[in-house]
Amino acid sequence: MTTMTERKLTTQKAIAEAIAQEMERDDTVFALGEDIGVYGGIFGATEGLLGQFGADRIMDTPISETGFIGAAIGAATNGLRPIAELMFVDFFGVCMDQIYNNMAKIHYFSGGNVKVPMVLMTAAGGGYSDAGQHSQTLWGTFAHLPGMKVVVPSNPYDAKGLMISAIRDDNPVLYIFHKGVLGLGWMTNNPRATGPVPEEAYTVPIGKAAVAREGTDVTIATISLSVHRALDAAEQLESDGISAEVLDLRSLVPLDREAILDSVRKTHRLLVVDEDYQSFGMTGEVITTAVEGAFDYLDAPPARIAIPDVPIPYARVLEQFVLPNADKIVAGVKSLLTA
Amino acid sequence: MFAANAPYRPALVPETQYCGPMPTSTPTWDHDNQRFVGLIANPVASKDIRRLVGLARVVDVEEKANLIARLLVGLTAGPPVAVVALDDSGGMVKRALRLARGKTPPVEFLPIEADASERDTHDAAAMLRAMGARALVTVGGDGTIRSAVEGWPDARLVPLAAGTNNAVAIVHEPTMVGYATSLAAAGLVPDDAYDQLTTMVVQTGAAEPSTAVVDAVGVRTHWTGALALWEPDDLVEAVVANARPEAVGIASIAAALGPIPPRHARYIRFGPGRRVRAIFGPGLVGEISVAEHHTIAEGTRIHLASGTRVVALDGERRLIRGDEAYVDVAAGAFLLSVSKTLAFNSKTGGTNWSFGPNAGDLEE
Amino acid sequence: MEIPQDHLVDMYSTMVKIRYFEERIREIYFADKLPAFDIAAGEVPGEMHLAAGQEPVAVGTMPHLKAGDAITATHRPHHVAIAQGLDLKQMTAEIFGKATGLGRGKGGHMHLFSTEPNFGCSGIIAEGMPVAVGAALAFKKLGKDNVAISFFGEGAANQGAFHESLNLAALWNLPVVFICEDNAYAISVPKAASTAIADNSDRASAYGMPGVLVPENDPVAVYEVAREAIARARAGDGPSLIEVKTDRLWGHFEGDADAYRTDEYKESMGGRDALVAYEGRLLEEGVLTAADRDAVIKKMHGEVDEAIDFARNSPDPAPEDALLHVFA
Repeated sequence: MTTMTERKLTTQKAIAEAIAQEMERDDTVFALGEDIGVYGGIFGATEGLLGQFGADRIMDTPISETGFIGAAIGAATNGLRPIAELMFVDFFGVCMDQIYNNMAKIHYFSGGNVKVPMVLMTAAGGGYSDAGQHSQTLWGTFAHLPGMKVVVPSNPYDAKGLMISAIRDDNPVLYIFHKGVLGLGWMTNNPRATGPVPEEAYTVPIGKAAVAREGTDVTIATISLSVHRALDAAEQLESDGISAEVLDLRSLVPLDREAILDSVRKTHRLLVVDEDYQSFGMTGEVITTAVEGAFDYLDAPPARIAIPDVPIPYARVLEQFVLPNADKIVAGVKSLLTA
Repeated sequence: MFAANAPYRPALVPETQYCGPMPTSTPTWDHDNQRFVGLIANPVASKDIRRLVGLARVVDVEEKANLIARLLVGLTAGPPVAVVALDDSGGMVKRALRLARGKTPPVEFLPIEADASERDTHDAAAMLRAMGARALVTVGGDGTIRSAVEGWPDARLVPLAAGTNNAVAIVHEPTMVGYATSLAAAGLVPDDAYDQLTTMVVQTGAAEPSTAVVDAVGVRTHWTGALALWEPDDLVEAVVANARPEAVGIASIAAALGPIPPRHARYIRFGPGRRVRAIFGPGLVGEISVAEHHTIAEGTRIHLASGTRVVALDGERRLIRGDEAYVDVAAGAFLLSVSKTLAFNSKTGGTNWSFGPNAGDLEE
Repeated sequence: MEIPQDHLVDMYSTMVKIRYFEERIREIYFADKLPAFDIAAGEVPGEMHLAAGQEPVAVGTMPHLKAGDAITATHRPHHVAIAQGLDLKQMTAEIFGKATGLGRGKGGHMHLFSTEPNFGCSGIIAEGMPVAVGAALAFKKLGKDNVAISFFGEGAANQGAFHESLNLAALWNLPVVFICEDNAYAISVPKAASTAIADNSDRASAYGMPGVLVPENDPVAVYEVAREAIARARAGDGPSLIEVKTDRLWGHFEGDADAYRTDEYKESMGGRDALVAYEGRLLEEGVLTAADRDAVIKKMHGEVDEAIDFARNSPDPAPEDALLHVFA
């Protein structure tokens, strides 16, 4: 599915390009959020768009998440296709009612008569000492609540394709991008944050996982920045003679359960890696999927690596202790193979 | 007002709910020997539709409470005087007591449960008259004054301006108004301290006549709510008193036609004729045609044109029932001149009265 | 400006319809939940919030709306929905949880949605306020001269969404009118115990828009103010806030013992019932004859009865339908 191309973009630029191309194609698409105009978005998701489209379509808002996300809902039910940016996913607390009780439920409450074609995009993730209120991922919380699609790209190609799919989708889509996959100049360099991105608009299907690296000995199912960690781990494991398959889930709602089962049936071992809190979240969901659908194929109890149910601490040594990393994944795989 | 149902009644606050301390006591006073003035404040003045149609000022409840607080403090500047007030449905007087805690004269409330209707103002004024109040302070616009005068036709009036149209009300700093009122309550005023208003007593066919202080306007439009919005085509005729050219509204039209002698009113019939500039309200500039006008003396009766269904009294509409509709121009309430009172006080050296516990016993 | 005769009569008819609807729903709601009240039992289970007494706010607003204008309302939505002209049969069927309901039984009485007319409501206090702002934003961007109306209660005026919505609407100069139904009680908490100021209309200037108080629960008074506010919004002059002192004749929800309001207060509300007062005025002024009045009552009651019969005779949704319509 990857079109061969020489052109490389960072994930951040791929997102901005996706939004720009859709706004060119469709007049009803517009964006609103804090600092998305002149600043281009704190994480660059709308870089350059104010100059291209003007303040009418790239709207800086006051610090009123309930107000402007609710307004996005009203605009979406009245003929427009808004992209609202929640600056940090951690800020959902001040506006969660509009997200999960309103945006996600109107279509259902109306028996399908009213559509809410909006994108709620937001930045997530830690690893750079932004502490407990600015480093969470929280996709498990949103995925748990019915009525909104949840997509989490890990690389530039998927980022552009998923954003275009999200904008074109008639449902509310929560588009969560990890700050560490964006390729921002002011964050620690990440070579996997840059990659080939076709110039034309294209879509990546929502609800479909992708095999980021094929393997035979173990399935590492993961998402977002942890895909990069898993790929790093896989390279290391290869030199140890272990062939690890890395499954990039890409979407949590809908979750590509078939892809999980296909992979587990092949490798017979499953390690789930998640940068969200461990209990009651994504890792539990993926493991249960495997147990329910491929129990007889499992040669070992599935294992998981996630943040150990503590708020994310500030000090580097503490934060690195709680976050998933390549070494933990390598150790986890090896322990699965000896189980 | 038209609505047969009484308007808003405030919600009762059970004691079980915490609402922060409200003042419960002010200095006690000797009811038998102490002078007092009445206070009626209107919480709905200047919050109505004229805010949308023109550019009428909004004086919100908190701002009015502030005005009242300043008035109360001013009342302590002269000879001791107490206050008997209507406990209005916006709680403005209570808010004022909280704002000026410890700096007010004794304040007591009338046994009336207010619900923001005109009836409150009318009944409170009548009650204060019966109790022997030395003066009546009102806070609101012309409509508030109208209701008060209806309840107490020959009141000694101190109307503080806080309404949309303030043709009659006083716009001076409330603290000074309070000071002047305390002097007036003690009788420490020159002979010409009060200007007697001309008033219009309007018979609409209801059981009791109504009063207008500024204007009684016969209007064509029938089905509307209570408050007047002036469309020139609606106006049939008007009787205007106490008009000053600088006062906004129908009064300005009347005054612009020529000076009105004291103890006189002006009658205007609208219709094809002389076009005059009319400032109908704050930010509402227009024109109107005056078919005829003449000056009328107190003691004159004017019958309203037959077929007029509604007369607006200082902006508030009354339905005319039956065929008997007329306006009697009469002598009315007495408006305190703050400047004359304070000038007199400074001229007489401010020593006609003294401080101390017996200072309240002065004769008029 | 004179009010057209047909508007006067329509407002009355709609008030009759709303009141009778609420009375019938109340009767049906309780019928099979007693003797020991079981909220889950009966034809209309769950919570029920009825708007008897608050009719003037709804009927006074609607004559000024046109096709495409958007309304968001609250957990007490029936009077607004009926006044706006939602299909009464589909609305009733939704309240009864039937497959023929507006939401195929998925929303219920607090989550009624309609596209024509453009209506939505919510069970979360103040949740619809930002949505009305968004509708107004869409109308402005799309160059339409439609307006959005946000109905909410005096309790909602202390919720963050109220403050954010007013600020946004004024900041972006949007065609939205905020209408506060002050029925003096947020469930059991009286306004004096929840709100630091006396009138929510006074909050408007803090957010950069005009605020108007309608102190009487009277359809004509609401009509006049709503006319001006909606005309302003349509002309591009921005938002405004209207506060109406209205009466919630019954408890917060059906089944509410309403013990926190005194008998005296409840009697006083009955003594100023807006429907009775308005009917009396129309009769007295000769706008309606007694025969007209009886005809209106008969017609409106008939429409409500028909809608209820439709709902009762409609099928329940299939249980597995619960899994449908999450996504488009």
